[in-house]
Amino acid sequence: MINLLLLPAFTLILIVFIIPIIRYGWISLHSFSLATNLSLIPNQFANWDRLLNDSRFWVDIYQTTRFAFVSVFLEIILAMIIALTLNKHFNNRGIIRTISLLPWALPTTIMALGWRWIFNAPYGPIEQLIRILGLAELNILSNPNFTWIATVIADVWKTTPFIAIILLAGLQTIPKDLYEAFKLEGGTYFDSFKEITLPLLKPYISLSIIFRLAQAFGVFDLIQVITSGGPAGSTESIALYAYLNAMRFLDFGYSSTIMVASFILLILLILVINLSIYSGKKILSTIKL
Amino acid sequence: MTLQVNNISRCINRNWIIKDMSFEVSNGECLALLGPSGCGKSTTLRLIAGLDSPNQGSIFIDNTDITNISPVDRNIGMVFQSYALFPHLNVLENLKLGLKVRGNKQTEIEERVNRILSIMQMSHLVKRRPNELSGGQKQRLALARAMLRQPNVYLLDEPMSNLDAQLREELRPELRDFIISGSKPVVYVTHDQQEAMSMSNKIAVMNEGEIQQIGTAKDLYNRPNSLFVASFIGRPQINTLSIKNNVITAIRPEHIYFNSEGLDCKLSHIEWLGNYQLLFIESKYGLIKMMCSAEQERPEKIKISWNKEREHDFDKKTGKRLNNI
Repeated sequence: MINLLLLPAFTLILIVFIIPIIRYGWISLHSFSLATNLSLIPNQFANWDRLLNDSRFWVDIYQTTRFAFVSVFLEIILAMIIALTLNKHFNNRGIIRTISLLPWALPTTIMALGWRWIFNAPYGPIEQLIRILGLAELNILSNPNFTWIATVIADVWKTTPFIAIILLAGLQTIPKDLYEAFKLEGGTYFDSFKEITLPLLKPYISLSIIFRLAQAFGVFDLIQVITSGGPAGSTESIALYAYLNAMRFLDFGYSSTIMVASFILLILLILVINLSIYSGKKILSTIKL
Repeated sequence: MTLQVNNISRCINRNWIIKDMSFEVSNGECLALLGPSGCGKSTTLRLIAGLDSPNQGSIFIDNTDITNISPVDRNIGMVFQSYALFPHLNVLENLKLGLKVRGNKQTEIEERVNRILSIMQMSHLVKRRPNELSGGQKQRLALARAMLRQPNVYLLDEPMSNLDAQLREELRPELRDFIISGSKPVVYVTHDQQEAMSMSNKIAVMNEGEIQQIGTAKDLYNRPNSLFVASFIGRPQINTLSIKNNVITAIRPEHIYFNSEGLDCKLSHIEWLGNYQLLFIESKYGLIKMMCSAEQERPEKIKISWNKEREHDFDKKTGKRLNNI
């Protein structure tokens, strides 16, 4: 039975999450575009059929997954190093902590414009440095082999501080005397990281991974500003493709299909990650809730 | 085994947390470090354990200087105030971890852990995590983990302070047995004088980083060498009166009695405490507490006195003892 006091929260979730998702699912079963005069015309599973055979969609899935996994992997490792450093006692720690959070506080569009300039050829700082060193021009943003790496770098720069703060919060929940007790038992610094820090930080790490993967999977603004999906679609993400379909081709039916499909894929992905992080027993207990 | 602490001092940010401290604890002896919070008791333990190092002085175990060797090589068993049990490991894993990182063989680990588990009667709890244990069981696990290493010295940092009053009383004999049965020096930190008196053979009263007095509970009670010790040991607190110039005279409430030829006084109020009553009496020397049996009848005219040999005289400026009893 739903408690009456949960009703306001439940209503909010219904309006902002559940209804839009159901509506997207509904639209994905219709032709809905400028060509249909913006009216919903049932077309059975024509959108879904088109999606399954749309190689551009599957390439985008691959590119988005690659972007998400590589950035989150790098972010977790860098954030762990930063969190461990910021957890130590040193002078002006408060200022350093604040500064290290700045990239995350910047609006994505602004920082993405900055990175676009950094990668700019031939005037950006990287190309200038290469010229000074006397090397061949890289043209990072026009080489389909490199460009996705540039978007990963920008994303890592922006979101590492966020994960670092989550991990730092986790580190601060670990009592100091656990480390001291372990030291008396003969544990080295490396041992204590492996035997105490990592296991006790596990909930924070898995939270960061799930949270960031979901976010990176839906990446839009960063890529839109730096590359607009180019060159040759080599950085196009699913969100970008859905946006193109809706806003440029004005095919809302197909755009909804892409969104629903990526939503389902993301849920499957999170489920797999959850299963691999937690034991089967834990999963069962969460499902029971 | 003998633990010797020689003239150690510890300074943090120009504050001397420990000042020129010395004591010795021999085999099977338990020294209680007793003092108010912030007096440096726990710091002393950390210095002995090697978690901090002293700025001056040296620490010896069995005539071996351990001042500059690593905590693990000192082979010290420490029970932390919080017990410092690893929350993500069950009882068995908590015990095994130390042996594992020190590279003991699997068969030896099993054997030693099983022996400790049966000594501490915890064999049925091996699968439980610390948060599934009761306060007493956590304490036993912390002790078991310390014992497992067969340490040269035991350091117990307020091992009872996490338990409620009733459990504390229940567990006291258990912990006492542990302290007596192990023929190792034990240093026991507490701020509770009753606990110090019942658990140890020697008490060192500390204040502001210095040992005020070391002695048996009886010594400290009967012959405190300073006003601080006199006020710290004994409940209710000792009466301090200014009878003579520049001298503070202290008399314990339990040593005051009614006497028709005694000091003229007026009763202010009474605290009835079940087994005894505490009388607050106004006299020309100030408020005096008197403790007497709960059944004691009060005379109409309150007149009190005390035996001269129960008087402790302290210098008003230095707080040092003046008279000899």
